Amino acid sequence: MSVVARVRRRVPWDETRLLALLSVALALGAPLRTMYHLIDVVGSPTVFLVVTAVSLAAAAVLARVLRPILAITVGAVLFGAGLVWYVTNLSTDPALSALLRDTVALLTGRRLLQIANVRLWVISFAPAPVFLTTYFALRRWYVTATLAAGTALGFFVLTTDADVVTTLLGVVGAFATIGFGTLDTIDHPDERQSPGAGGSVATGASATVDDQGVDSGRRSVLEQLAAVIVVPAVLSRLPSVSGTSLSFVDEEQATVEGSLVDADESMTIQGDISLTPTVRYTVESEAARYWRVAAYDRYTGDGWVRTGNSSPYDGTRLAEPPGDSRTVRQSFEAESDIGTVPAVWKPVRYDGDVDVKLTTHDGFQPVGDLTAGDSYQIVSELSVATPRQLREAGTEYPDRVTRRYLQLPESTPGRVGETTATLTENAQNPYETALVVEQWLQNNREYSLDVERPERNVADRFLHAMDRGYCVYFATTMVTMLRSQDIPARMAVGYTPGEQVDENRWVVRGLDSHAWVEVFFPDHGWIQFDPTPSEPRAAAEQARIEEARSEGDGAVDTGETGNDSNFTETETPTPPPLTETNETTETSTPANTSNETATPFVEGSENSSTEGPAGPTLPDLPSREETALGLVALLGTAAGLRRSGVTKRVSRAIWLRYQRREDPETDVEQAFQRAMYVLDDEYRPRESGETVRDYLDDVDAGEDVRRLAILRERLRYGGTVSEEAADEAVEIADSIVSNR
Amino acid sequence: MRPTRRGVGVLLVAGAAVAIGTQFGQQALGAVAGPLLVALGVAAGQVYWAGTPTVERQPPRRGFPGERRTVELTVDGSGVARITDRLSRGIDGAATTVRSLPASVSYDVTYERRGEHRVGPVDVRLTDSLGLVAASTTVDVTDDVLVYPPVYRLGGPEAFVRTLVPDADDRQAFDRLREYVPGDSLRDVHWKSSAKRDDLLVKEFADRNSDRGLVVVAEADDDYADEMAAAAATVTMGALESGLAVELVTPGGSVDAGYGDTHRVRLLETLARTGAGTTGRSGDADVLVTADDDGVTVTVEGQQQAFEDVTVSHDNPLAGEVGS
Repeated sequence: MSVVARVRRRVPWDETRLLALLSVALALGAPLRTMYHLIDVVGSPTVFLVVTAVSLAAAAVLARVLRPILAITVGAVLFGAGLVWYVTNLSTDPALSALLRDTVALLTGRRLLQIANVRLWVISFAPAPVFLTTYFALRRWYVTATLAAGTALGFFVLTTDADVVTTLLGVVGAFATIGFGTLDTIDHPDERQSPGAGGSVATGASATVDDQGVDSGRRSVLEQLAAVIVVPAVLSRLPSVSGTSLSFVDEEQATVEGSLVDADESMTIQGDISLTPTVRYTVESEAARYWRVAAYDRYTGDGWVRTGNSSPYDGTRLAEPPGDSRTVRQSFEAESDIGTVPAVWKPVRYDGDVDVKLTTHDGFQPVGDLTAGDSYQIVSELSVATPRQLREAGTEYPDRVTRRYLQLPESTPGRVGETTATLTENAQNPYETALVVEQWLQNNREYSLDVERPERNVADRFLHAMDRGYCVYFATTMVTMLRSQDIPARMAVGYTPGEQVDENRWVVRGLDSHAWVEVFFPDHGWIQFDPTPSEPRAAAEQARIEEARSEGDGAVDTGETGNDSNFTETETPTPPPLTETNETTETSTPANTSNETATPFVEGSENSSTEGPAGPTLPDLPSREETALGLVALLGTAAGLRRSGVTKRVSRAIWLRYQRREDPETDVEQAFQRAMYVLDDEYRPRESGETVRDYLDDVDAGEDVRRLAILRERLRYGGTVSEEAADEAVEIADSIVSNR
Repeated sequence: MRPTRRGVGVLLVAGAAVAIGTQFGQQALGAVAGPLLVALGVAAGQVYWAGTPTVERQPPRRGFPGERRTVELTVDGSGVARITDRLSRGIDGAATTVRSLPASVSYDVTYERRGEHRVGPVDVRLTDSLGLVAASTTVDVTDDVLVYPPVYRLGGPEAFVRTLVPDADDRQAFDRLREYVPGDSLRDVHWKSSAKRDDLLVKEFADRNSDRGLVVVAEADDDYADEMAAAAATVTMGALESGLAVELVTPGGSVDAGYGDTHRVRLLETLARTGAGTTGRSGDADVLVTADDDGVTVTVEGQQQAFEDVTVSHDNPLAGEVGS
């Protein structure tokens, strides 16, 4: 007995039930995958896997003994227990209203990754949907099982933690469950007893008809799945649909500014990206520094998330950074509608047209958007720690820092830490480590806006497999490398100083948006590093400005910039003595260098060529998930074609036109059949009982057909024919077919 | 064609997804709303293209009350269908099933009462493979089923039985032997002679027996037609069994005298169809069967008997023997 038959005997489930259970696995797998990813970002997923496995096993065992009502109760109890467990184990003691507010925020798009204790949350709430889905699937209540899995997936869709492909897989799984489940729960003919007296139709024949029915049903489900995969994907690209909430193709144009500064509380690292030349701010400041917008602390492997909630700001003076600092006052005016309030780190006071709130990283975030013309003033305290002080800062990091700023996803490959350790062998303290990493990245990676985005482990890929990228890649990799050496670091985003138009005035454009690194030193706070090579970046920015100017884009200049500028740069690449005298400042004030490198046209043109649509490139290899979806779509399309008879028609057409030669007997017979088919089509079918000769006479067939008929007669009554006869027969048939 | 509850649910979820997505901008909601709406569209398309399924029925054979039959339907088409075969009163069975087309359906029925009954037409509720959209149609495939009245075993007082089963004494005297013709009573077989030959030999009685006819007249008050038919059937079957040529007169029709299986079927048919009423020929009757409030009475040569008294049991001696 074949293996399949032996397996079939052991497992008394028929194919439809297996398909239904596989579909349930798919529908449940989508939210599980999301949960796994959430846990992986913050720590070891072992406990989560154990909890999931136990829930699955419990449901499988109880499916035999527990009644559905009791099972629902068990599910509710699991959910309630998880809720209680979560609330009581939170390190803070939030009020009920705060929890409710957080839940509402989650449901309206706040990512779960922003919760400080994501691990606890997932482990508390994973068992209930897993148990309920498995139980009801094994009990053949497929719609209920789909509801359980779908609710879990729906939650993650609302929090945007489930990406589009995972969601689509889950939806396909849900549909497949309902489809195959319906087929599984309809009446089966062998379950009904028919009395001996009644069965006049042979059971064999009725069994075939029923098999046909089930087959046809399964193919219908596949067709529907294929349509569900293909049609929305196609329609999403239509101009009228894309951009609405019915489309799920990412049509947002990726600009550096858009991906960084507008990203709010979570950002995903993009692929190819472009620069926005629009002027954003005009700044008057006592010193030129990076205008910082926000920071991110939790690295997800393919993006960043800011954990924690912001709090209201009432205008009071905030804490100064520890250690020596000097005051820098700035005044910003928005030149276009914008939703951020950049400031030099570390801002201690804000005063402006728009109200702000305070983020968990002590930055400011406006409550509404700024319109062009809005202005605000900032007072910042700039740390003036010397390199020697930073070298001696030590490693006594406070708990609140290590808890938050040493996180790396579990799936980060170990080689990141190993490579970093090797590179920084000779560094003796965190400051030197940071310097080594910064300079290594500047010198060993090239700057380019044209990047093929890695699906996961961006830092690992940039360190080991890629050779070029833009600021986000550099900053992400540096933070990851430092964290792998237990040095607290975070990524900061904002703007570089921009174009200097006067002694203390700068014009900041969208293309000045940038990402860099902040590293924590005890007694000094967060110190800035920038691993992106500055010259190529500045060149790319300048080229973009020129391009926009030549296109006549009015938003690229204010009255003070460009050709109207009255300001001539005094060549002072080194900062004045009152400010820092360490190396870091030079690399962190590229505003000066941008004027030195006015014509790096080789690099500039290289980078500006990335503005238009990229030339023909090979499409990215589809991911596993996309392959799976494509496979289902193919199967379903094949089923649909088969049902509509297309495949039959096509194969018939091929049979008619092209005869494959085997042996003379088969060839003659097939040639005859082909000729008959043509006659059938042209005149009428041969009736049963009508001899071939009579038929040919009646339809007035030509000589060639009669010759073929004679050959075939010879075959029929003689038993064999010669090769030549077969050749002749096929020739005749070919000519008949081609002449019809 | 209309959406099922599931279809309405899908529509609601899609609507909610679009609304929330427009308001709050979660991108993956597009991967929820789009497929849901497409699924509804495809469902409607599948149901539309499936059209009306074709149904072929193997009609059940005639029989007596209490007998069970299997009805077989072959339903051709596509989609998932809930097939209900309508049964008229008098036939009992569970005739609803949910199958994926094409399918062959068989279900059991029990004949309850005598009469002309009908199986069909077939109500089909067709849904797509996901159960989102449903279309209900009725396929006009009807078959008539005739259920004969019940037949009981005769017995009881001597005189009565002798009238109807007159061959008790006459059996010894027979005229000649002839070959067996299908329809002859097996009691007439002369076994001794038959043993010497390959075929069966039947005793041919004196003519007066073969000429012997019996006129059975049946009448009933309203509502008692069933009892009348049962009694008349019992009597006529018993008479036929003993070799008499039975002529039957009922309010619903009459059958001239005759013998054999065909005649038996005709008698049963007439009795299956007849209603209550009078015939106007009660004077001619050798056996008069009447049914009214007081019960069923059988009158033979002026003597009345309650029908109950002349039946030995309610077992049907013809069960399974009489086909369509």
